[in-house]
Amino acid sequence: MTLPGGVHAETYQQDRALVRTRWQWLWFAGLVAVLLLLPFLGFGSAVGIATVIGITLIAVLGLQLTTGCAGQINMGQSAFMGVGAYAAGTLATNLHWSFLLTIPIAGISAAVFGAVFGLAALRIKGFYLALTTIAAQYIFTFAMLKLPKEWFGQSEGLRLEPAALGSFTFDTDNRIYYLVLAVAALMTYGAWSLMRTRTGRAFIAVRDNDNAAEVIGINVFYYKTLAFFAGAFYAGVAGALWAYYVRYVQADQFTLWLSVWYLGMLIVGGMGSILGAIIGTVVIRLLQELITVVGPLVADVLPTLGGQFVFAAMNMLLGGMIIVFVIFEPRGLVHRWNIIKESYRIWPFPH
Amino acid sequence: MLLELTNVEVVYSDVILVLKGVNLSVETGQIVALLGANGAGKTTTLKAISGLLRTEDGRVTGGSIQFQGVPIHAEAPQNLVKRGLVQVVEGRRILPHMTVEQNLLVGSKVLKGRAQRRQMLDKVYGYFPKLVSMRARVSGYLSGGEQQMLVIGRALMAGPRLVLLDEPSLGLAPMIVTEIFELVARLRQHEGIAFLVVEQNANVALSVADHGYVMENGRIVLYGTGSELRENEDIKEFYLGMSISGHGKSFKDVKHYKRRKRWLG
Amino acid sequence: MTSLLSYIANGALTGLLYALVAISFVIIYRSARVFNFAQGEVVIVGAFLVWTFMSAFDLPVWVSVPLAVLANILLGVLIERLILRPLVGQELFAFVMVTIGLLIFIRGVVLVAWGPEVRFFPAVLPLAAVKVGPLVFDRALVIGGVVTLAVAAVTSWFFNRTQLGLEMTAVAEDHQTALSLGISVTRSIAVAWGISGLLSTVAAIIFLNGKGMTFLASDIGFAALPVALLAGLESIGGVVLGGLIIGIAVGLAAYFLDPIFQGGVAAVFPFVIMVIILLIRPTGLFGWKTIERI
Repeated sequence: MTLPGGVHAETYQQDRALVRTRWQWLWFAGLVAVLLLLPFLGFGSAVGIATVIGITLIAVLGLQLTTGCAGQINMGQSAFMGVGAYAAGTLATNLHWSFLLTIPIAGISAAVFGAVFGLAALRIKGFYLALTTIAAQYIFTFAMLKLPKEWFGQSEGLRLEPAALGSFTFDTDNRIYYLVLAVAALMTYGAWSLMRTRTGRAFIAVRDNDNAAEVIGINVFYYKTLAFFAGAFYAGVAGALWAYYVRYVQADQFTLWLSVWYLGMLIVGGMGSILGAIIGTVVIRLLQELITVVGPLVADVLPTLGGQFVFAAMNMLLGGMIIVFVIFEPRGLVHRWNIIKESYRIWPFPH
Repeated sequence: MLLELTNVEVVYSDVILVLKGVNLSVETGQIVALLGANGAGKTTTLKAISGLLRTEDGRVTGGSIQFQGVPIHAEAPQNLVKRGLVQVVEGRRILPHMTVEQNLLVGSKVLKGRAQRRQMLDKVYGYFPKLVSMRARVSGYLSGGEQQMLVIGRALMAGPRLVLLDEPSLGLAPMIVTEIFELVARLRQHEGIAFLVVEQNANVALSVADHGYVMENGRIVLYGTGSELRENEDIKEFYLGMSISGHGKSFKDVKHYKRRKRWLG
Repeated sequence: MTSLLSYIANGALTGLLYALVAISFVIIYRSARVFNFAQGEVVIVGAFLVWTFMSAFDLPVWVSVPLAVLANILLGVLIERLILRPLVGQELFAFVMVTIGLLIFIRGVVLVAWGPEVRFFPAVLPLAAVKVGPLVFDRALVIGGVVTLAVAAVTSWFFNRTQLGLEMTAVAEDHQTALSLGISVTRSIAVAWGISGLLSTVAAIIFLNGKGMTFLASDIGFAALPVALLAGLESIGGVVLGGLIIGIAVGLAAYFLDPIFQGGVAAVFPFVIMVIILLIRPTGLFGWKTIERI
């Protein structure tokens, strides 16, 4: 029931539903319509941007599960993504398997790789774990550049044919967009559901106090490993989609910096919630696009800034945003949004 | 008047009102007990006095706190230590990786020069003979009682006029608790140090206190000298576990709740 | 045989250089309990400043270096005041993310200010090689090794024996307790950042002496991580030992494994060591073991 004091549920189902009021249904339907009709709305590059956002979102959702929900700091998400990309790439190019197989397998290979680091999480906590995942990045890059050329292409990378379903190939921007949209929607629903199950609650318990969680009977080892497994699975799927979108896989695409960008998106969006991951990804990616457009204009006006200005400006933007958010709004935009909603509901009372 | 709080209001995170007008005072060389159940606001009161609120997003939004006649609610904690006001935070917060002697030396920041520090160190060792034999031991491995003594000793190293003690009996065996409170009484007697002690163990606190306050829900609800409070029927019922007859409660009395709290809280 | 010895000896010296950067990590960690991911960037800023003063403004060495050091110290103090001070009392993750944000931000600023081109770093230290028997050493590295040992000795004495050092250690243990004892947490942190700014500039000079440099040289910060970890983040003496161990291990690994993998081993091997250390003994050889009372 929508009352002036807030939205109150009358049954359990209502309480747990994703969309609870009529207004929310309208907004939701509107969003779905926009997403489905995006290619036809006439915004040139919007489809490309949306595809990239979709792929990033999947990777960031995975990171949200590992770091935001289960509290295991993971700075190697981009390496996990790389594992997925290479897995899909090599299976598609060398064995010519269909994307229907390569994408899940890419997810699982990344998940296994991630789970190995999850094993380390049992002994190593917090910031030391972050360092281990940084090591994962460097080791990944080294491995990919040194393993046999026939497998992974070493420094030349792999080139892929477009994903194909029988004779229908995903070779245009619009087609790959819909593929990414479908997978992203599925994965988002999966993550959201996961957090509502026993596993999700166990993650939160482990995040809040793993000693206490162990004491009340939660198998901390299992859930920490699972957190990495799930997060890396998402990264792997994102990597595979990336491989099919860009059609070129090379180790240098998956750097430590990319992992840090993903963490930045979580901080800006808000840790611990699915909505936070979505908001963070969209906001930061859009800002990136903005800089890509505005940057060259600024560089034209002030030529002394040099050709790398766009890249540098993005760094300054992301770094600055992380710092500002950690200091002023450590719980991210989601928290800010919740406060706005609350204060609107109880206005004119301050609390 | 060494310490005087007048109508102090404290707010956390801009929205949670924790202290709703607290009045309390401590004279030089007095031991004052601040009693109350969990969540009453006792630790917040201490932190408001010693300036540690800001690390927890709290602020003094009303009233005044005066130490030796000077308002201090806007002072940084480090300046207060220089003036002679030290808080011993609850929970025996030793510096676990440093030795006992190093812990004590850290407390002597306000003293100048090696000689002064050594002098103070010897004095503190005089009050805590147990710590002497453990001076080189890493303090994280000490027992609870020894850690509590270390923490009090560390506060003494600053040569304070007023020590704010937060729940010294927490988690300690009764014999150790008695020892600690005897020590507090001795320090007051020999050094003239005043103590504001927050305690849940009303019995032992009232045995050494000159006077005491009872706090509930952010307000002071009762005040009296130590002996007055010990005899007060309400205190006996609600904090000392004794029924009207003066002895421990029997289950028969529990069902018939004869006494109601007469103060508003 | 000589070439094996040469790998080992040079490895040891390089390890000592990483130890110098690692000491900066440890000083900040020992004083503020902040792990400064941005340390590599601070090193690079120092280097670029020296380059700017010497090449662009044509100032002599003995003016440029102190100026750059001063500027770096100022940078450290600014960081402390604007960014770290508001975070006093927060949990560890906030600090980690803030230094990572700082890392990215400074990298962007360096790129904007100095661009991506390769610059030639002036030879502040003599370039002539030092010959000891059949082994040849880069003179700058040797000087660096000596400097590292001296710095380690001084800082170790400082933290364990002086009052100020004890107070800074107290800040690392527990901000609130330190505050309640009258220690200025913010001042401790500022001092720590200042000292590490100084050490970073020195390390930069030794590392880049006479070589080309770009903004990517900041990776030395990450390369010094395994050294800091092996030692345990609170132990300065351990850092020197850690540097030697890792330097020699990397030298050996490069000697034996480079032919198999066609190079590149020296860059990744420290990280392999780091993972092994973290698995066996996360607090490092000499770090503070977690004392947990349950």
